[in-house]
Amino acid sequence: MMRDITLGQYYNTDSVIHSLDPRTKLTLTFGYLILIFLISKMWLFAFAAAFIAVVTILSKVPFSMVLRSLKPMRWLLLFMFVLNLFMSRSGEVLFKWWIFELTTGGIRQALFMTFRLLLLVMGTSLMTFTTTPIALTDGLEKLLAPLKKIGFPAHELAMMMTIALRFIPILLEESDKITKAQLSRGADLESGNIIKKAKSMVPILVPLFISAFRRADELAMAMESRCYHGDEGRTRMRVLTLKKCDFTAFLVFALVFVSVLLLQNLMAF
Amino acid sequence: MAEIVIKNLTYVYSDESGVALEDISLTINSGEILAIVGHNGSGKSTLAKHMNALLLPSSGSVTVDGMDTLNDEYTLDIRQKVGIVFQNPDNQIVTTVVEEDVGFGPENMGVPTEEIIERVGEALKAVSMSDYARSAPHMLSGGQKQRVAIAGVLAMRPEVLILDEATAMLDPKGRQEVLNIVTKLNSELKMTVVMITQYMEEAVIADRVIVMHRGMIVKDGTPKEVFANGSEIEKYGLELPPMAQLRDELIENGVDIPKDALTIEELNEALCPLLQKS
Ligand SMILES: Nc1ncnc2c1ncn2[C@@H]1O[C@H](COP(=O)(O)OP(=O)(O)OP(=O)(O)O)[C@@H](O)[C@H]1O
Ligand SMILES: [Mg+2]
Repeated sequence: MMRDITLGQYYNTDSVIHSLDPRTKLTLTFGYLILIFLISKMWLFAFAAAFIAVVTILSKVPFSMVLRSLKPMRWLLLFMFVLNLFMSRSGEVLFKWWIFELTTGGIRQALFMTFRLLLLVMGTSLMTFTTTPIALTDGLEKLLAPLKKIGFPAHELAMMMTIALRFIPILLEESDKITKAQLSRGADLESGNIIKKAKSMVPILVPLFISAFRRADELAMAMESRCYHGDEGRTRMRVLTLKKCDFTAFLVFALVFVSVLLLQNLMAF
Repeated sequence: MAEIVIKNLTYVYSDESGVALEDISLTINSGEILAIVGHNGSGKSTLAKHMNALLLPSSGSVTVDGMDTLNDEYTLDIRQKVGIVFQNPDNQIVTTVVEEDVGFGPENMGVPTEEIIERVGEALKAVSMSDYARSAPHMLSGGQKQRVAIAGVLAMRPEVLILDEATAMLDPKGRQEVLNIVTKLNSELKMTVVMITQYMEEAVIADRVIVMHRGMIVKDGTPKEVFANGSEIEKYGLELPPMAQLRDELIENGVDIPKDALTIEELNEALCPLLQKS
């Protein structure tokens, strides 16, 4: 079966992590990012890694999936590694060639940054594996709701994200159709240099944009027809409620957070 | 029950485009199925959009249950009472889960959560889509999507259901599904139905047919009256329904059948005795 692209990376299981409120997962992921940035000793990353491992087991998402989420990042990781390797010059010099100088401090710094990035990506991927984009949108709308008071368009932003999710597959299918239609008329989309290729995209993008505008117009009409008038007086079919497991999750994370920081400050090494 | 009264309605999109609707007067009675037919650009959609205040008259008036569409205090009430299903199902489904989309209207109306869930269940059942409540709309067929769009309107518990060429993008099977639901809603829930259509055979099931031409209503009567005469309909760029065409050809060839037969059943009834005789 075709994979439903509106689900993004979502991996459906019946785990306790999946059943957490999206707001909990968003907040805790944010907290986790802060923690990763606060860690300044390499061995403390082991705690973060253990935390990720435990959450992965609880979520019933296969480890291979979590590791695979790193694949698109491999070039960035490599680049960061090499950059850091030669950027920081401290400690013993191990090797010197032309302007390059490899130091023990450089190796330390490179490993440190790589671990940090790896843990960042795995943590956020776990959130997207266990939460559907639409749930994330709902969660974000709720979390940002207090900012409405200072004029932040939380509801409008969430509605835009919802509509985008709804129309991505439609527009993808449409661009596919247009491409085929242009190819069948003898359009050459493959050969030539970058500029020529970019030019050959024009006959695909123009009809796609025209159609997108028409769709937007019709959708706006249909939404108005169904009484849409912003979020004033609007109720929700799906209400987010914090359950016991959400409070447990907060508590566990707080414990991890505090103990890692305590260890960092109390231990001399 | 909702009654829509249109008086001397004229509508102009912009000065260059000319008049889209010209001096239309029409009363839509509650409980009837009204079909609106007409050539492309004859103003059918423009008229439909006036019925729930999506467009407001340039002159004249439209009232729904006595509420004038020009009074913006009534706008939301009118839109709750009069729901429109549009032609392209893709461009009227708002969210990525079927049941949430059906709940979109009630959410906007401020209906409490438990009641939204109840209404969504009912609406999906009415269009036989309960099994797809958790599906993603883009995984459904055209006919199924259009049924979801109808459910989205039904969840608002409207009194008038307008279908603006809602079957135009569907295959014959999808069209039949939608038509069956519409006739069921009319007969069981006494819902008023306004059906705009390109297919004359769909107009045949209506209680009353209106023909539009260049922004005006040029014919108004029962299907039998409107489709009695082919040459008159052709003046407005339309054709008779297939069965009426067959009827006229048979009569022309000397077969003795009633001049107002419109459906397969009626033709069948008239022809069978003739065949048995010969
Ligand atoms: N948004 C618009 N702006 C300007 N003119 C418009 C607009 N929409 C429709 N018109 C014009 O108004 C007239 C009536 O259009 P309308 O869409 O109501 O016709 P219709 O009977 O629904 O046609 P169709 O069968 O193609 O759906 C047409 O001449 C059309 O060009
Ligand atoms: Mg139209």
